[in-house]
Amino acid sequence: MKLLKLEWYKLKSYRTFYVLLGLFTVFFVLINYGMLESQFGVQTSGGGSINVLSNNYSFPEVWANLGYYYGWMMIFVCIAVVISITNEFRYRTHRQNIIDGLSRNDFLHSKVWLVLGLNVVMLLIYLMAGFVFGFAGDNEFTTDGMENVFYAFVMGMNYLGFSAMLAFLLKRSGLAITLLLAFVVFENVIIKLIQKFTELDLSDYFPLECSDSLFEFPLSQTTKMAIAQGGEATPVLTYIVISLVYVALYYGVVRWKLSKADL
Amino acid sequence: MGDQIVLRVNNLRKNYKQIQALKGVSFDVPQGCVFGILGPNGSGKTTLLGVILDILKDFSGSYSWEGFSSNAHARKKLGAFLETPNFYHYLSAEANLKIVAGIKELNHPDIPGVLKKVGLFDRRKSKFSTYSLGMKQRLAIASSLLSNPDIIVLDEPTNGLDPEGIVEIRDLINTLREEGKTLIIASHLLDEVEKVCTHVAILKKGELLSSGPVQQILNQDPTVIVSAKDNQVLADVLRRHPSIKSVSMVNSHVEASFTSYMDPADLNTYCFEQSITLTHLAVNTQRLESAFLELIKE
Repeated sequence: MKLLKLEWYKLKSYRTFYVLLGLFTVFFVLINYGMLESQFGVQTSGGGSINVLSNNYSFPEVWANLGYYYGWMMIFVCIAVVISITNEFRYRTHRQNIIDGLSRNDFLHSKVWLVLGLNVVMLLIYLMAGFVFGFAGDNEFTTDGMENVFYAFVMGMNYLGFSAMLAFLLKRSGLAITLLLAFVVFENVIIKLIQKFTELDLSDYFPLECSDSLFEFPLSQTTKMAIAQGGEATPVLTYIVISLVYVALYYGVVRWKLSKADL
Repeated sequence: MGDQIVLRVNNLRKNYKQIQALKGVSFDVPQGCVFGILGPNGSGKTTLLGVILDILKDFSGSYSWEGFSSNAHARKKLGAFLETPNFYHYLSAEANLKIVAGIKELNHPDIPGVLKKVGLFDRRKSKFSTYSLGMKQRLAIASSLLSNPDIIVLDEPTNGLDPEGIVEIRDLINTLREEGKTLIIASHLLDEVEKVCTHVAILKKGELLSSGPVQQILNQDPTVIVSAKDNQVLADVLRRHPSIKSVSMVNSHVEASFTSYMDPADLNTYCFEQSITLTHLAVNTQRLESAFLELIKE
């Protein structure tokens, strides 16, 4: 907790940090509100129209729907993590923290606390949004679907951990943010290319994609039935385990790098 | 100054790819001294401090902060900064020192007190980014005093300071020394070191050329100017001294140099034992600058 307090001292007066958290909150709420209020319809052969995307924000569907867009909006908080770590390298305060008495592992663990702390803050926003949308919906409260809160936590650890690793390895915010965004955008393209040339479907095993898969694309019930696919779906537990293995890997890589590097 | 050692450095070697930054450096730092690490730019001073402050890895040899359970524990207890002052630019001096206090686990840090000591109290709420270089340097010194440490490590502490600031820092160093603190100071400013240091280690291209008390370094090869009633006999007696290097007659004096440090009192005793009463004895002391230049020239 001492290390978390230290991170709080570092960030509590940092405006950029609040701006990014604010952007996450505003856009997360707005995009979901937009989905709730909108109709993305397509014409059917009978001349009618069906809504493609789910706008069901009642319990219990609200958690899964929110979770999908939560993953998108998390990028703002990922950037906050990157900046808070690269600032240490930019101002060379990582050196001073060590000189002042932190061990290299303490320094790493202070950032682990930061990631955990931010993940909890994001989850609270997710929970609040879930309850507000849910209680405004048609159904009574039920605990069904609340496993999605845990999935959101796992996804948060994976995204924020990945961002932290990039920041530690690249040390420069511009480079780390560019690579982060590029990876988020092009991860699927890479997966598809590998699939095309090797016929291997590795989508379950890619760093961020394995967590993205925890939340299905929020299609409406009608659309789901219309495009029902055969084949067995990968169990959710697999995604959780793979995501957590990646989180451990990020930690291990940074710990190894910090233990060897000249600061 | 006690006989206790606070830092032992043993055969430290550090390479940056092909460049040997430290080539087997060893020395001890006694408690209560002001220990100057001297050397031209690129001599390895900051590398040496970087190793003993755990900033640099992949070195051979060893170092130990005596009396601490671990090096991280030692760093918590000592006050130190390396090269440029490193602080969070978007935070005030006060907020930055709160972070230092947090790392050092200080329950009641005297932040106003150290800021007053370095003349920054009135600007304590200003962001670090608005500080001049001299003010940044002062804040770094304030930060290293925050835990009221017994050992303080300063890298070029007068960098960026105006002449008045340099004198203030020199006075501060002397005050700290009088309080019994041990100071380890890296500098390339010989005059500064000569005025405050009791001990020095001289580095050149990563090699330790000499280390020990300043007086010993200055008098490593001193010329002693002596005279007696019969200077010829005096010269013969001096030639028989076990540490004699050279003897020459200059006007009405005899100039002698020795292979190792020669205490004038010992020389007087030696001459007296050889039935010679000296009528004049003076040690031609060097300035640190000339001793340093001679050492690095070799």
